[in-house]
Amino acid sequence: MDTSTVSLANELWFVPFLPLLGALLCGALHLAVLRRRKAGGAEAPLQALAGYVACGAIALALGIVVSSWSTLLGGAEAIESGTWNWIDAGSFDIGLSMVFDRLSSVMCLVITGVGLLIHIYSLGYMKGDPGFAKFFAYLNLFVFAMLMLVLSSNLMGLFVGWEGVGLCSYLLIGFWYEKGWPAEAGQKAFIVNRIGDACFLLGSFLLIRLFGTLDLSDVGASVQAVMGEHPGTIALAALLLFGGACGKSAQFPLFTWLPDAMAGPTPVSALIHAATMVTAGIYLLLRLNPLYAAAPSVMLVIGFVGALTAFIGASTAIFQRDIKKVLAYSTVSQLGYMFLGLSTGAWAAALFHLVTHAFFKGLLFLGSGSVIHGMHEEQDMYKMGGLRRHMPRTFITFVAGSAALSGLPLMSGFFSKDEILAMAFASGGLHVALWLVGLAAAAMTAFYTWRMVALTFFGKERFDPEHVHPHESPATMTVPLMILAVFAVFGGVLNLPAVLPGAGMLHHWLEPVTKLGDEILHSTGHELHHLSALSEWCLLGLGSLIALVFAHKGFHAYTSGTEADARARAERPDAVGFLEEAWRIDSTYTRRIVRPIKLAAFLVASVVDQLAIDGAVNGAGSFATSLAQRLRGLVDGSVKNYALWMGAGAAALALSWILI
Amino acid sequence: MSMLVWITFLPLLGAIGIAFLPATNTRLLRQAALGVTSLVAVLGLFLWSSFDGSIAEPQHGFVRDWFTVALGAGDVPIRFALGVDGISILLVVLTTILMPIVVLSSHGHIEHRVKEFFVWLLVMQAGMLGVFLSLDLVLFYFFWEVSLVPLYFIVGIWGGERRLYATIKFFLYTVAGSLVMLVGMIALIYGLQSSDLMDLIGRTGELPVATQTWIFFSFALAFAIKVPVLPFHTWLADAHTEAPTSGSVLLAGVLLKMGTYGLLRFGIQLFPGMAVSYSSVFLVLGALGIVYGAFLAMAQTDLKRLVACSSVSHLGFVVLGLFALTEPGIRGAVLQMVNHGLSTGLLFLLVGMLYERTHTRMLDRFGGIATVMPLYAIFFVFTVLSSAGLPGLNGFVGEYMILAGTFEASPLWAAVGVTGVIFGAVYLLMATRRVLFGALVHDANKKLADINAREIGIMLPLCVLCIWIGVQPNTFLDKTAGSLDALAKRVEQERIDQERGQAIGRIEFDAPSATTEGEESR
Repeated sequence: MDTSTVSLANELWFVPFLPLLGALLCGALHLAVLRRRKAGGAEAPLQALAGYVACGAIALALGIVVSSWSTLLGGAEAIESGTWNWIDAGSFDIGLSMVFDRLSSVMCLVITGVGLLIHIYSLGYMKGDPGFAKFFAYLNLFVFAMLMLVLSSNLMGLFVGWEGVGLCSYLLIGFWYEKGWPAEAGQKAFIVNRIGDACFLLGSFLLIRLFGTLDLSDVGASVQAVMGEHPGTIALAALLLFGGACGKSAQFPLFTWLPDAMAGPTPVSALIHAATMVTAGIYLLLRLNPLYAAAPSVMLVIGFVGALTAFIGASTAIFQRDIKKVLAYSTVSQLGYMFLGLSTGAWAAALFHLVTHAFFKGLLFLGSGSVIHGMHEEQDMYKMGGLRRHMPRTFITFVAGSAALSGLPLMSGFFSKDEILAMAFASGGLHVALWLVGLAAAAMTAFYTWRMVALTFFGKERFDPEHVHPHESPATMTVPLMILAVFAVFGGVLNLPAVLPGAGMLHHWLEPVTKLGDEILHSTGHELHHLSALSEWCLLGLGSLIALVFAHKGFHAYTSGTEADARARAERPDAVGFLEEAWRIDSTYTRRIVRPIKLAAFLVASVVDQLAIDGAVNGAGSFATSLAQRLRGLVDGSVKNYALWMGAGAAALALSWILI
Repeated sequence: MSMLVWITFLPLLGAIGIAFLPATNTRLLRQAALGVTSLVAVLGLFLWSSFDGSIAEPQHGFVRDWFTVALGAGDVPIRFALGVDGISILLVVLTTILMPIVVLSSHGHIEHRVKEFFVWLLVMQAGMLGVFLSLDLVLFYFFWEVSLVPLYFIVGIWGGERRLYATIKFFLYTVAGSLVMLVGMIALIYGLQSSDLMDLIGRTGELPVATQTWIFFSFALAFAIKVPVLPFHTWLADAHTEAPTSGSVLLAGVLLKMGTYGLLRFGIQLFPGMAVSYSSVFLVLGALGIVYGAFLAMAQTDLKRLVACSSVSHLGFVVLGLFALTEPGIRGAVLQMVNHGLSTGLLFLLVGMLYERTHTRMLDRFGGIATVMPLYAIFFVFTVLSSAGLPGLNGFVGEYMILAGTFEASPLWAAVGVTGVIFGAVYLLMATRRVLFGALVHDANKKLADINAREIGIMLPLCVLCIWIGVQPNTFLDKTAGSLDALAKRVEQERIDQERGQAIGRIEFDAPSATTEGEESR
């Protein structure tokens, strides 16, 4: 990196550490709440204070991010902080520093920007919860970890954030742990992620072996020098790190934790399980783009995994009844698109979709939270319907988010998804097959999105009007929705397709970061092919057509109610059941992996350990015991005395030295 | 007068002093024990601050002639030699600062024969410190045995229902190991006519390879039992489960480290050639121990037994790191010895606090504890995260260095070890969920009191250390730099020599023992 364009700025440390400070303060306030609750005092002021502290910390962090952003706009390539010497053990040392470059700046804006909106929303959503202060402590801790993840210059620093966000995800999924199943969902999320983490660690050891460093820019810069000699090792390292990304970003085969993670409060689903944490895997691959560019076979694997996940997720979302489950499978599916984009070397397209997805999916989750809030904690869409009259602001913003998700023309999601699909098409070869899979998933996306809108906001009111009185949410919740809706609609301008004026802003912005990856792709003949204006127009038209047709189908079939589902279930019960249960992948894991491991653990403990090993020991032991029992009177007393006298003698010896 | 003599013998003097106090005055006894152990802890901190981590050789040396034994060619002087180096400094200081915590933790559950308890506790501390500080083989063995006896009584008198079974098992196991070690030790002293550890290091190559091999394994067996390394681990679960909380904390915190310390000092430092030749044996046992211990822990229904089994898994990491014989591996392993002492010590304290309230340790008797004991839940989750190796806390630094160091030596066994990262999370989080989360189903648990100030005070220093090691491990790594760097280099040299020796046809093992006859009779 050209040092002349790098300014050293230690205030960069404040970006993650302000939220950490906020987390500590909120934690202290939570303790104070517990104390006061025990004493029977009023806890509400303390809880409210925690909410403001948390929002304030994120707002300050956002302020620093924005001001640092202006430094980048002024021409600097990156801002670096000083180095914190974390582990220094001779040949093995790891230093941590923060780097605010063009990639991390985009991530930071999303994290603190969308994060702030979700924090404000949570002030309303979590109001009255006894764990209010604790919730904000966790939320701030999450933002800290997420910022560490994207700002660290070193893979180990990234891993600190990586595990930190995983921890917060665990704590927040299980936030309502009294109910039991949220705690189980949190545990599952942590453990499935750990499988990915084990791959991540092995990948990092391979990087140490290959490059002798875990500094991300050094690794990137050395790939070209090493790739000729060790293509296999590079591919293996890339694959293992992608394994880590599969865990965090919920890709096949490790996506099963994300639907369960919906057990957490809805703002958590919006922030962690849609807008930020789950995109960490995409960030990792983007950051290591030279490594992946040098491993074309792994890129193809990523493409397959991404397309398959996009397809599984979209097809599963079609028959879900729980509004949050629809959004969860949709997230799995959309993340698959991002990986599909990465696999073609379309780095900017993946980041573009990441950003627009943060807008529209964050919006949709918050919108669903507003619905759930207004419906007295009801999540089953079969028991909703006709809500547009009761919550107009939520309705309009939700429609904006749905338009973006389903890729209706000119919405943000339209441009970002289209770019990924266009790149897959342009790559040719096997990627054309992946393009077709992506197209099919896009059709399903439009269908399930508008089915969701229809079931929730249109048609007959299927709830009991005696007991359920739907109401619009307070302004703390609806204002963030409106702001996000604006971004979800207009976010596409960030990176318009080449045939439109003002095209490729994000693409150009990201160029310094992806330069090395592009060079490697170019030198190995894998560079992106540019589409002619005609084919690009055709693809845009095809995308619009598919989105409109299937959005219409989905909407039309469900405005009248849930009969379409009942019909499908009656006609094809097997197929619907298969799709509803996410291709029965999770239950297969339970049957084929979880239960055998539990059985193995039981066998190890009871048969191998108790019978075989300990049996042998006790066999020898019982012989010795019988011997010992005969000598018992003699030995028991004397061992005691022996030790005491020995100790006393040694003490006397020492005493004599001390005195002499 | 060396500080080390004070550190070693102050607990012993304290034990004698306490023996003269009235047995009925529990309060006075506790204050006295706390006073003595705190004084030792202060000395430990002084030692820490005056210790220079960049020096490879032992510091604060204290040497006196003790006695001589006629063995073979001449009289072998046995010396009272103490010293501390980078291999032992962390464990010495850990032992000194853990002890006041152990004394304080005994308040809840040691109610009868209090005087005896503290006497044995202090004798044990002297023994453990002696083990880590001895620079003479005979002296080492003396302390090794001294440390063995008190635990026998601590488990046997203040233990749980099956305490007799557990103590006899523990005693026979370790005595068997000790005796084998004694034979090997005598053979070593006889063969090289010296009992001085620093003199012997570097001279073991003079012995015939066959002799080196069996002496090495006689030491290794004793230490492997103590660690414990698979398959010698079955005493541990019983001893831990039956021991009183304070005994378990001591057992996990320090006593097991005598095994890993021994493997490093007498396995690797004393016999680097053998360590290189047989490293794969220990890599296999370490890696399998990680997985095996984790599986054992997963199947447990008794919370304390689960923690005990987790020790087998965690110490598998230490063995793996040591016998990776690379610098990050060894240095990570030494740090991990401390980490395991902190995390598992905390876990045992937490189990004990719950047991004192509920009088059960069965996982199905809990559930929803976080609702009634929120502060307890915070410490519990913190400790579990530390034990599971979350970055930012102590366990991660050690585990990562160990695995990275192992990967250099053997990617395969590192990969097996990495699965411990997954399985560790499985049993720890399962236990957390079953204890803390879910609904409060048992009526008996509905009125549990949260932890009090004393209990928080016991755990807080350990938690601070967990964070400190996680955030700024260099404070601790620096202290081990000189010694372990030199050791890693020496082992590396040995590896190169062996490879070269093999390359030119194994000519290097031609009975070199006769060449140093003159030196041997010193």
